Amino acid sequence: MSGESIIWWVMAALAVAAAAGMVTSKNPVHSALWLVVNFIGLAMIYLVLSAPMLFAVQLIVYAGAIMVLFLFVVWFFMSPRARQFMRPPLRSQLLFGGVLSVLLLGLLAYAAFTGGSNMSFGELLPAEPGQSVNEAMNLTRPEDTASTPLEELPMGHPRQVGTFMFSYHVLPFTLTSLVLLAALLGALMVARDELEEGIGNFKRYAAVVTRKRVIRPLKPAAGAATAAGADAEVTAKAEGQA
Amino acid sequence: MSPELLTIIVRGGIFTLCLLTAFAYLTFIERRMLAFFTWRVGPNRVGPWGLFQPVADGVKTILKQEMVPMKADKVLYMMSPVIAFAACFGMFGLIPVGEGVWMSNVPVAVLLLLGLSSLGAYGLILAGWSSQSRYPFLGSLRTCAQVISYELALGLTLLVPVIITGSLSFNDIGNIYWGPHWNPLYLLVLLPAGLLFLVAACAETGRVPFDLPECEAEIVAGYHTEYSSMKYAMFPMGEYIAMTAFSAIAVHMFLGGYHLYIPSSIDLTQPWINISNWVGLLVDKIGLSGALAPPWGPPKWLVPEPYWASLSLSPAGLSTTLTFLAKMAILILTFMWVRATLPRMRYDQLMRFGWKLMLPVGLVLVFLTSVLVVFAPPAGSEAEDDYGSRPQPVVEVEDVYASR
Repeated sequence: MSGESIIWWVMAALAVAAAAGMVTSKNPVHSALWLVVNFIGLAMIYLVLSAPMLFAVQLIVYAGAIMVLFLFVVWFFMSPRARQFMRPPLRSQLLFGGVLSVLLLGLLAYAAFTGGSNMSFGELLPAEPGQSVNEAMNLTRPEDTASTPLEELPMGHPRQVGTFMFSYHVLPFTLTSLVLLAALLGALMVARDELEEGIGNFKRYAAVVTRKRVIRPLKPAAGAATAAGADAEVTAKAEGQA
Repeated sequence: MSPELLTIIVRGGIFTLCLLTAFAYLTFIERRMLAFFTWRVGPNRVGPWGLFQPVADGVKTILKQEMVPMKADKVLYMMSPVIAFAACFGMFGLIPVGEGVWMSNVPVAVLLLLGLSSLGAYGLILAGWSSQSRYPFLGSLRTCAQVISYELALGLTLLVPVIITGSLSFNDIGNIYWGPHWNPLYLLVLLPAGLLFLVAACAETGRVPFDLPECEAEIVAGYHTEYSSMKYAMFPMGEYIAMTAFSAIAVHMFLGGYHLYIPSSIDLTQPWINISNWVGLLVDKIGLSGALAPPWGPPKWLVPEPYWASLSLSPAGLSTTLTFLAKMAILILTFMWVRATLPRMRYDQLMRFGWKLMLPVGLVLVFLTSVLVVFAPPAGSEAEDDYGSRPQPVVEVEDVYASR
């Protein structure tokens, strides 16, 4: 077993274990961190498959930027004291989910062992047979690749990826970014109502706290809004908006 | 074990030892520098000129009592200093320090460094969260926001030399001023980009004036309030190593890497002389050996042939390493000087500065670079054989590198 396939198996096991950890852990922060581990394992697999560019992008974009934002969101909705936050999964979905995952696993196994070419796992591992990780990673002294023609670069070199993405496939690339933009705008539209409601709640909360010096539930009884003073006006306005 | 793997392991050990020593003495130098700037004496009690102060500090931190908050998320609490520390150390695995003196030389090194620096942020963020205490949590949220905001500007400034050289590997980018990619007009974008990079690196490593995450007056000690003993020491360790790493990146990206060229007044057709291998030149001058001195290494009867090459050090490697370290030291001293000079920013100033000044300026620089590369192409690309008065890398020294 070559070094590459050992790394592949270890990283594959790590990725699967991390995915299981993500689904099963009770604390959402732990879930997010398991997902980071999963991404790192995946990135390593990309590296072994001699795609160093994809490896770096996976680390920066998914493991770095996106998961930090995930943590932000989780913290935003989570009380610092809540250690056990997630509810147990819905019973009715367990059966359905189980059936679906067995189907998916079967499909993947079928595709892996019979589909496409008749290669075994071992042959699938390095991108070109005989090319080691060191060659793919260009661990020996690199040439000045800026002037090398595209065809002679090692597979997955950033210049190749860039050229293909931004000149040959520029239309799909633009369309994908448009889809992402649409999702972003959609999320903003969905969140807008809740945002206004949230601001109203906040004003009401601030009014109650400053008047009585006690913390009341977020939706006070109807009588509470009739109290005198500017705070009450704020409250009434906020309730009117809501 | 293949020679490559052995090289990586041996060099990894050497790099780690060097970095740990460098960290210890960087704290010492910084304290002495700050004392000098503020008209004090600084640590001068332990050993001659206080030189053993880092040893005393190390012994003290290791022997101190260690306290873990009862409500802390134990696993993450233990892990987060390690993450912060390891990510910063890992950066040096990607940075070539001299000709042939590197642990790995990946074609996407610049991208990987950005990835590692954002992974290092996890250590700081989780440290605050896992302490389950208010002030550390606020500190880690601040770190989070700061790192995300300034990483954008950092990446954009790094793009400027990358666009000019068309490569993501440090060996190509270090050649930027003398290689075939050069056009003097590029200085227009490289200079502001370098300055912007230094500012962004300051913010990314959380140094003054951007050390908001650990602002004493507002949130005690920020994310590491609940840490004590060696676990606490790992955070400043990571910070200093990150500062060193960012200085190294700045040297590669904006100061011509480990090469050293001097202007020549003798031969006008070749205005630059490559003296990167000055140790070899010196040895030759003294007359100790011909042909720029053979590489040095362990005795040949101890280490067999295929392994010997990866364990030896050529004069070229030594001289380029020393050049690189000298350039790096200048930048590190600049960081220390900045710390002694500038007051800390307010948090809203920090965010406004990052998003409303650094990011737009970075975008404009990237745009200008693209325009320059298209309309003022590098001098070497027009005519391959017409050298004219343009600086060209001297071929003989390159051949010496190749022969080791």
